[in-house]
Amino acid sequence: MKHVKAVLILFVVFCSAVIGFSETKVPPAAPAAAQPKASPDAPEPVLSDRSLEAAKQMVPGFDPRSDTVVWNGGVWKAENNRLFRSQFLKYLNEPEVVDELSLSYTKILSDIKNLLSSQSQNAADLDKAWSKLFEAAKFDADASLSQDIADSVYAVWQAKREQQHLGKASETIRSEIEQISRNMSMEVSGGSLFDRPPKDDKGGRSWMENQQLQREYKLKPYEMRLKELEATTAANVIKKEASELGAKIQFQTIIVQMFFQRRFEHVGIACRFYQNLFGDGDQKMRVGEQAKAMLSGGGVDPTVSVVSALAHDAIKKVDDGVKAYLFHMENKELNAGTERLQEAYAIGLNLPTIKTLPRTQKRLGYNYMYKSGELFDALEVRDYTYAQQLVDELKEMASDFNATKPLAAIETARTLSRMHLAKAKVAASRADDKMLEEELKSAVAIWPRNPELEKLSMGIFGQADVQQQALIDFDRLIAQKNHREIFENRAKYIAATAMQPEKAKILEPILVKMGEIEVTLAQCHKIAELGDYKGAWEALELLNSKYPQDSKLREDRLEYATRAAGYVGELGKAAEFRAKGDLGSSLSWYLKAYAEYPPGKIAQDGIDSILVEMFPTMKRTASDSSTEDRKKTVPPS
Amino acid sequence: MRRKSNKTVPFLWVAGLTGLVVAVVIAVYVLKSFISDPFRAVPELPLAGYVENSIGYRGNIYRFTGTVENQIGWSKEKGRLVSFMATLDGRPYYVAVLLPSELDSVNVQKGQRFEVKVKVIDKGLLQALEARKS
Repeated sequence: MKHVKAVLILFVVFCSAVIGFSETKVPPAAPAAAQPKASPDAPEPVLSDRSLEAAKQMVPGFDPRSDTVVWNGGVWKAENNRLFRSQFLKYLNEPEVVDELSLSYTKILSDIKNLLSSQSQNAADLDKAWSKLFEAAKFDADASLSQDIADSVYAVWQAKREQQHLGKASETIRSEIEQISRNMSMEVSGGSLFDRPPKDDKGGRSWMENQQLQREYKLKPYEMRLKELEATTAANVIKKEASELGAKIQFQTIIVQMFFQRRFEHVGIACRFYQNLFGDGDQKMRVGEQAKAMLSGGGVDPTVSVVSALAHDAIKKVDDGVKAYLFHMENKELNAGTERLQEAYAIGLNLPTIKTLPRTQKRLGYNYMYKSGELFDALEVRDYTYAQQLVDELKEMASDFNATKPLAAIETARTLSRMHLAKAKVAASRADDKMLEEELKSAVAIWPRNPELEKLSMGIFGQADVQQQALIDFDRLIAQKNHREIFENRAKYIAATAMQPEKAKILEPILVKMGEIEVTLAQCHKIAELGDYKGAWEALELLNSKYPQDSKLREDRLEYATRAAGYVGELGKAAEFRAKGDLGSSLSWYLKAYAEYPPGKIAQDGIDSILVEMFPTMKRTASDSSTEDRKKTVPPS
Repeated sequence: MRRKSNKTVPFLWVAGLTGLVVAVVIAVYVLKSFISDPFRAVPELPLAGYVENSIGYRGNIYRFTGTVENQIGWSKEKGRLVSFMATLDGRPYYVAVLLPSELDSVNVQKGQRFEVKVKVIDKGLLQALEARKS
């Protein structure tokens, strides 16, 4: 199962490589004459030995010990992928695709492949295969990929036509150059038979110079035209090479894109077209660095033949994966079978072998996958009773199901939960509510729906109706918001709600809140013992604003309020004037309260809030009492 | 005998006259300082009433004498907000006074006694118009 997830991750990596592919740079073109020309009689082998070795290295390797996949020097973590899992489950539950349209589509693709691969292949076969691409493109399943191939082929033909035109133009230029050369030689060798230089030296030199000038004057137009023609020839050569290179790059782009889209049949067809159209032996892939890194192996640059071989290898892997699945199913090896089918599905979800697999054959795999998913969820939510039931069912279904890990998890949870329950029993017999609460909490945390927990709670409360009564009381107290009483009898309610997860969810935050109140009350009592009633009252006042329902909190707050009446009265007046908008008076009372009890947070906050309201830009000056003093005096609320 | 009594009379006259001159000078000085005191005509801040209803005194100008308690806040534009403690009938009262940036030259430190002329501004806050150490 993890193997397939790993393959999925690899395809995500493929997609990122496509981005790199779009950045393909065109390398400078080598002269056409320098490239080896393929012999039409002896076609180039599809894959050389070195390329085959490189192709083998591209197959991802899965390491089951570490759940990692090694791909082209990189190590990838194969995590559980719910999205893929749900897609695969959907596939297993779908009926097979055997309608007439699909069969027609498959037949057209097969015809194209046959036309391109026939030994006696000629230009007519190529044209026929090309025209069939348009037929294939009409089907929804094709996603217009055949149209893309057809467009690329047409672009190559156009490029070749342009090259032919350029070739003809070059021929014309060459004959004109020859003509000019002949004319020039005639001009040089030509002249009147009766022209003779004078006998004397001076006259002879002058006559020679005159002749030379005349020749140069006559040859000048020829020379200029010759230069023009040579420049045009050089430009045509560059145009021809660029046109061919552009067509190649466009074709290769289509091939690689389809490869990353896992449309391996189309990759095969496109590669065959490519090899037919470009018979010059140049199959080097001109792709970006990232795509090259993905497609290359063993230091060999990727070629069209390598990509074609990879596509064929992928198709074969999918076929083999489906065959292996069927074989494992016959032998009740559901785990291995579903793993092989997942691998095949991840690679070739668009291939006919996957699409035409009968639903009846997939159904068994679906049941196994569904139950193993349920087991995973049951272990995650710590429902070990259901997990045990699923393990038994899976062992019955699949002879190769490995129950070691789930059983280990279940047994560990059982043992730990039993230990805590045993301690809880001891605590109950000693009437040690605190220990009972802790042990019950621990037992619930390990195995929330442990049936033994229910038995224990029955034992603690004597009989089942007592537990029922506890739940009724719990609901009533919740409705009354009487959390104090729930907290005081927490052991009873933890036990009662152990088998009722929805009620346990309500109980948990109440216990947390009450724990906070209790801690603050205890701290305030200590502060009050030191005579700091103002600090004790203030801490409770702040907590009361957060939890106004608690009766004990209210009582204690009232008690300390009477002991710090002056301070409380000043803050009360300050708040009253603040509410009326009488900020001058409010500030005076807050200042008085602050002078009386500098660590007081309420007075400080009141002064701060007025300061902010009246002078938003004004900075608060640090008070005399340090923050540390305040922390010591006022317990955290 | 008559000569002796004649000598005593002028001495008494001179001493009396000198005393009278000194008394007049002192009286003139006291009167002058009283008349020239800028806070002379300003009424005392009714502290007990102010802390119960500060907005009722808005727009009025008062003076009060108090001890600096704390500097509450500071702003370059607005100035300093300082808390003072003043006593009335033996009871302490606390008021916050805004010392605007115009009074930046006045040094204010905790424990110093000041006589402050204040105006009750918006929302009942006191803004100092003048302040001097007392």
